[in-house]
Amino acid sequence: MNPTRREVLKDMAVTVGAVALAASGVEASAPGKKRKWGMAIDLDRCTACQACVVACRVENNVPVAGPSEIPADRGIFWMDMLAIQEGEHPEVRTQYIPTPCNHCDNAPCVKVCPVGATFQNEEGIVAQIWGRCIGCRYCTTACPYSRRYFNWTTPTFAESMKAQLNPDVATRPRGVVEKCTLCHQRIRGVKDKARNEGREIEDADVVHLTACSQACPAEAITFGDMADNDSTVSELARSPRAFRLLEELGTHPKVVYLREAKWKE
Amino acid sequence: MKTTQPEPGRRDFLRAALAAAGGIALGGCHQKEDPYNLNRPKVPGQAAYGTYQEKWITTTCSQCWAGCGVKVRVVEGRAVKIDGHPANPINRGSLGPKGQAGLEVLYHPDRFKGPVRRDGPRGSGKWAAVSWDDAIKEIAKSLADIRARGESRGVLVLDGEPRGMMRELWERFANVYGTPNHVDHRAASDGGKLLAMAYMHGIPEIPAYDWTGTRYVLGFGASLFESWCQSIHLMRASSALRRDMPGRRVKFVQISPRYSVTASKADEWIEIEPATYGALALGLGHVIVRDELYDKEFVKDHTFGFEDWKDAEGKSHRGYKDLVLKDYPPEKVAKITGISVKTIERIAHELVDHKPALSLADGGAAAATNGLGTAMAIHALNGLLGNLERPGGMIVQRRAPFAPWADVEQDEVAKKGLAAERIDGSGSDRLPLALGCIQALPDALLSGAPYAAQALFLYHSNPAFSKPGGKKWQDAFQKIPLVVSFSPFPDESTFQADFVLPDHTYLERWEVVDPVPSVGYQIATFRQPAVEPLYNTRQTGDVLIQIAKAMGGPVADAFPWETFRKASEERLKPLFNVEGSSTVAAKLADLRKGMDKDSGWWLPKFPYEQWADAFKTPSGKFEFYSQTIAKRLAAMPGLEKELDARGIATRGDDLCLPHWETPKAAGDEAQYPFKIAAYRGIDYAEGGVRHLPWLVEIALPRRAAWLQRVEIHPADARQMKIKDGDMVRVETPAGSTRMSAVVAPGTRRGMIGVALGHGKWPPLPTDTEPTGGFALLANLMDPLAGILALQGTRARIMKEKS
Amino acid sequence: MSTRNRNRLVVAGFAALALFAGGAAFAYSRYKAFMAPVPVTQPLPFNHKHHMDEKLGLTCDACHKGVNEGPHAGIPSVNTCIKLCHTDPQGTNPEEAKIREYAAKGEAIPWQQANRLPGHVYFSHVGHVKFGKMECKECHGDMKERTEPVLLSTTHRLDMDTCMECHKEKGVSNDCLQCHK
Repeated sequence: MNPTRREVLKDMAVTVGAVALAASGVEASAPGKKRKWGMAIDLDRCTACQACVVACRVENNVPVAGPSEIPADRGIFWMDMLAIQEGEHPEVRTQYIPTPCNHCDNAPCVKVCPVGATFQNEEGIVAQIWGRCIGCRYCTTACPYSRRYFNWTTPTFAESMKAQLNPDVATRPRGVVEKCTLCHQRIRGVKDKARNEGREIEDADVVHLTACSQACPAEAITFGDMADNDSTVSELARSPRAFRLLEELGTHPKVVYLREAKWKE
Repeated sequence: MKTTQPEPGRRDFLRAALAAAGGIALGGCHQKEDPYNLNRPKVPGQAAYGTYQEKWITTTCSQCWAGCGVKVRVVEGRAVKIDGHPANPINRGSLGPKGQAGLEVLYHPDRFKGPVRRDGPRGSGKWAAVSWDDAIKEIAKSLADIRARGESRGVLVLDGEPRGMMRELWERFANVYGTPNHVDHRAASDGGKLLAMAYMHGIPEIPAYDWTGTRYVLGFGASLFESWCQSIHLMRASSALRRDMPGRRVKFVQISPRYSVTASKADEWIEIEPATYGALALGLGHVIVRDELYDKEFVKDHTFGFEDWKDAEGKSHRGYKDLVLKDYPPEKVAKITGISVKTIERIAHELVDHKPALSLADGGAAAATNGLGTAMAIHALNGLLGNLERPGGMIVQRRAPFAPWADVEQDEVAKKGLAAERIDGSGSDRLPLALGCIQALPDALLSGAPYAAQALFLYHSNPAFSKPGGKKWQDAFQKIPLVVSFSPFPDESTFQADFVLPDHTYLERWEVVDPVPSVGYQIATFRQPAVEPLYNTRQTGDVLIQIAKAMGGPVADAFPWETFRKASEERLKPLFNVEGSSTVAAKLADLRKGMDKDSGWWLPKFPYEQWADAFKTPSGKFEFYSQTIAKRLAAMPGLEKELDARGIATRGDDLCLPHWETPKAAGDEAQYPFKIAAYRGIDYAEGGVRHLPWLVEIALPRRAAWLQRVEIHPADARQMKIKDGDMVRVETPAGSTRMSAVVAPGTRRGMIGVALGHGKWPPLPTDTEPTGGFALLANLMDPLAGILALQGTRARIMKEKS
Repeated sequence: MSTRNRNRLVVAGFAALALFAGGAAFAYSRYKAFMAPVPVTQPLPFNHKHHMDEKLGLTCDACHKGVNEGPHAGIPSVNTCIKLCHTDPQGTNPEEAKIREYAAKGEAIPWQQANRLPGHVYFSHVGHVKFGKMECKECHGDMKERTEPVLLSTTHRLDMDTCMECHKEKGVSNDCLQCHK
């Protein structure tokens, strides 16, 4: 990408998030009625309860890491809660940020995968085909957000707990990298439902579709089609409160955050 | 199970190639399970297996008492996901982390698979299977014997439910059997708030708040987004207050010593000295009264004890106005609380300028030795601002109009037993202002005074873990001849049981639920099995009815129903044909259908300004001066001496008014330099959630999720040469435990943060190291009201030698 | 380098090659065994033909209701068998009585799934049958003629190439997430 343009974009993004989004949106969206799934997370609404974190793990068959793996930082959290601390008591500030995969339009992880296991699908989801992954972990290194997880050990579920596993989501074996899929099994479900009813899917079908968004008591997480200017998520993304994580890297995340005060890095 | 194998993927080829290159045979050929598809277990006996039938079952969450409606996705008889029910007014389709983790309760590998009896010494954790019939027969016989001996008062029920039909069933049992010892946990959780409601409103219930109309929220250590008892509803409300009203945005100010999650999410956080909330609230009251900014009309019409007053005998008494004006000037309050006079004045004016404003506290704020006065002081602000029973204010939670069960016929034995003093001392001269005091039990049980306990029922209770003095509890249980636990899981208290009669989990049972919802209006929800019971367990309500029946006589007569379900459905009649309710049904089947569709029944009318049932005090008004307290204390012989002996400095009328006492601490500063800030996080439930890995692993920082954690200010840590992640030993006068040090910038200097309810799972009978945080706390409490003091224990920290 | 040494090297080379080849052959044989379809055993000798011939005339979706509703074709619960026909003994096969035995116990007939997809593949019956207007027999063969119980997959080798080819032909998306879960 042209560095000058990138600089300009960055400045725009920092000062007027709305313009930056519009610019990147135009650049990224393909002609025709292509969807671009994205998410808006309102940090002013979020109460850091982590319902999203648990809901995601339940929905997506993410194994519990357990006391031996957690200290080694090998726990898997497709949706994680970042706690960023500034200062020390009493001049202290903590910012809690729910962090799913950003589903970057210009995703560094996709570029480094040697076997094409990770890719961006036609609706903008940065996905991973588990069976294709060889576990080289280039992508976990490349992701500037650390939103990719490697299965260091064979995922284990207590025998009685296996009954709970979601039949719509494959489990992942050892040696495979896994990540947020924007609950694409639910997207598929809602598409089938709409098709069965002989209609197109609407914003109301998907606005709280993902497990994290559905669980969120504060309605802080909104999901939807970023390519549709009328969708709730697009509207939120145009808010003056909107910003994206590390947008200066040019990754074009499709997860937009909202916050009243400008967040100091 | 034989299967055809999946098609080869690239990984398999690679594996084959690798194996060939290395000349090694492929390990683990003919895998039993497809690694991508671990979720096809056989469910023996499930008629739905193989059909791929998918159902959504409406029921009610039970991970806390708020009563969120849920729908459970059941595929082929396996529950695979719990989502919030969109129609339910408490959670409107959302569901908190605890609710999300509910399936781990259902499918937990450590559940008891059926009833067992002790097969070894007490506390050995050795069990032998027993049939339900034998267990029930034997327990009923023991209970009948105790009753025949005239020692019915010695039967103790520890009941973890704060309200609802199960609680009322236990109460009924206690009343007909003849024991006053039906003890709940509220003294250790929301005790302060309940007592403030009991004495100022005459209604000992958790109140509701009309969030939609509020313009300003002042939280006194209120853990709104953590362990507040209706956190999910509150999170919804708070986010709506901030973002759903264009042009209007509510300010939320949080006051607390520790920089909690709630504090970090507040618009303004104000630091305060621990256990001085009461003084601050009275200081704010001073400014509001001094500047004549209070709601004069409300105070005149609907309150009692604001001005000085004269009783029937002509004796004059002090009022709230005189108390705050004389005793709590901002300068004095600033010294106590560490909050500047300027800030106190500002907050007081903000409260008045942004009416309706709410002043909130939860159990944690009042959990100090000055708890009752503190809770009353905070609540008094609501009366002063005139926002009780008004839009945007605090509203007494109206309960669903369940019909009462027919009265029980008490025989002489029952009457004699019920007249006895309670073992925990609440209501007697030991704790005249308490409404139950669970943490007073171990001492009483060990000393055998006022009398020995004969039998103990543990329902939703594991006090050996969730209350101070774990070991002491276990020793106390040893002195009780019969201990019966209904816990589905082995825990510290259950190890002491003679019988374990495991309850269904909440996803397997039928129940009418009387939630603690904070929506203000009447609401009832229900539970129904999402899946068939997995094991040979039984609902405790049914078991209690069966035990009563097996006892015969008046006890059996009081339990005429076949099942608990029948007993609860009988009470639903007043919910029929209620105009304006969510389901206007003429008969039970229709009501059930409606409740199944909407996940409950409710009457969405806010009971604004219905003064007739808002206050049940002697004056029929909001009492700044509690006449009930006055009456109780007047009946106490040698009050002055007692107050001296208990170290209470407050005297006379002030005891009946909101007031502030210097809090007491355990441990002296020289030996124990740190104050413990014990708190409950979102991942806390009574008895802990340490058995649910999904919740264990949401701890922050994640690296220490499976350990007990102690939070230390960075400067304190540097001074002690403790690095983040070091293992340290925390010692208090009450006990010591090993914890992982978390260098947390949000912790106050000289204070350490201890999250309650964490520790090792499963607990073993051989454990010597107590966990859970409560083991560190001294058993301090409000000396008159019995509120457990979470604040007040001092500690020291020793770095563990590596 | 002396001849002897050279010979030694050649011998060693051949030995290594032989070892490698042997290893590879062995691994390949194990791999074949690993991948070979294993027949399942069925609790009852279900006869598709009998149920689908003119007399009874059941269509596929009469029992595999899911084909018009969702991803899984599904099999009817034992209660459906009972309700529709098998309340009383039908035909002459003594095995048939087992249906009522299972039903009396409240258990499912433990049919074994012979058509299985790898765990990370998603296949939607409704998508192919209802929306794609495909006939069942295009993948499963003519079940109307089948009298033997299904012990091996009826879909032959439905591999990824087959799926993708057909998708390409019919202009259906070949997005990975279309079929992977």
